[in-house]
Amino acid sequence: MNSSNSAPFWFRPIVFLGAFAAGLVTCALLGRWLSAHDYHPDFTRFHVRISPEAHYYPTIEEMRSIVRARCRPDQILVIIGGNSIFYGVGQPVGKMWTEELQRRLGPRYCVVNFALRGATCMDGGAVVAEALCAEFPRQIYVANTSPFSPPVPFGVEPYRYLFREALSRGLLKDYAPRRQLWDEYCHREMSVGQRVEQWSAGMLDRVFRFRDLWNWVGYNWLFTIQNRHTPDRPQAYWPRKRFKDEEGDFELTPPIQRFPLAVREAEMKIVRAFSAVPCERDAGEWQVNEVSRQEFVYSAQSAMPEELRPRTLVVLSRNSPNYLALLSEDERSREEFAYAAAIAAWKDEGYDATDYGPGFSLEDFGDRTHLSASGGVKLAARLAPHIQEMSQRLGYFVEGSSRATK
Amino acid sequence: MKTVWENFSKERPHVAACLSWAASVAVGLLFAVVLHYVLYRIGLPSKPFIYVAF
Repeated sequence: MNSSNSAPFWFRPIVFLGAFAAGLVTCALLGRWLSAHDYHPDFTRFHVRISPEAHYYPTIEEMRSIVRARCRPDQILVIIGGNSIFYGVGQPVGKMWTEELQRRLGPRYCVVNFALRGATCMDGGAVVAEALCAEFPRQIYVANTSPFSPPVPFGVEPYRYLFREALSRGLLKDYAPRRQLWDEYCHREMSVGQRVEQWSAGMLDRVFRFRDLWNWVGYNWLFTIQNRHTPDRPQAYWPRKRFKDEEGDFELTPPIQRFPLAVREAEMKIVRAFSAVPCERDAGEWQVNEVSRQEFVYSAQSAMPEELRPRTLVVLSRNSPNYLALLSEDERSREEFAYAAAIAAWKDEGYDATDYGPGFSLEDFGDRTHLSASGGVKLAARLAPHIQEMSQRLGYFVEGSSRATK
Repeated sequence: MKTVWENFSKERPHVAACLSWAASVAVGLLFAVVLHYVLYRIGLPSKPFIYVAF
């Protein structure tokens, strides 16, 4: 019993500390258990309101659970990575290019779209694919990029947290060149205090799984962070599962209205830069300039362990014919050279690579860079046979090359 | 002057002890959940990511 001068009546220090410790352990175990079960039954892709744009940061376990719930042991897993192009901006659910790809590949494959708006080819999907390579040895990772754009081995913000998470949990292969680049980056960009903070945060999350638990709570019960995509109450606090994938449809806009004259000049600068940056003339012939080549080779060699590269398909994105038609003949030849040279460069480093191929028209693009639904169908038609050929080459159709046991 | 709690504790010591235990457990659990949530919130970037198509 407490006297009138002692602590509050409820305060029993040992009991309080015991309950505090038990509470932390319970939260940690809950986080582990919840994230090990898929809670995205209607998953199509990480649309805006379940993405970092709305302060929702999918965890690596959450993404692994999405795959496990969808990919059967007898299926070949195809994880789609890359940026908004492969995400399918302008392609609503039902007209996504990855849905078409799944249809074309058939039930022998399972296609999961982990592309993220603003991501690179080594973000998100790449990390999850590597984290699942023991569990799903028959897998193909497909992502897009632009010619000679050096792949950032540890991803870019705001998606770099997935790399940090996977690294701190030992889910990535021990690959010295990538590890060295990561350590150099940390030492260069962060103070000692920031590195300690980063390490501590990773260690705490590995133990207590707070992101896993509160993501589950935010998705299913109550989201606690206002953001620009849900600024008003009560939507700001709705569980994220109430929000559906409401991607717009480029095909609702007539093709001629998709490429405003006001932005043409700015868009053409970008289009020209795709090939102008890495290429230069040498004795009348196009060559890849040495700086671009070395930077690309160094990054491509460090980005991914060698054993994972043959199962990686890098797709070089093209720009809309509306803008390509405005290139001069010289610029067009440079463009073709850049794409051919980039495909060869990726293959030299052990990856597989391709581009969109011919046959894309004005209607297949919703803007300079993003494909409309019809463009997505053509892309899927282009990539499906390539993925099947890769599967053949990698021996995925051989008896016994099934999913590894847990 | 004795407080209500002191009178109650004297009259029903076992009930008072149970209440005290329960309150300590509840507050301990609450502190744990709050700390767990704070760890989650401070790990998030302070500025949101704004996607710009280019």
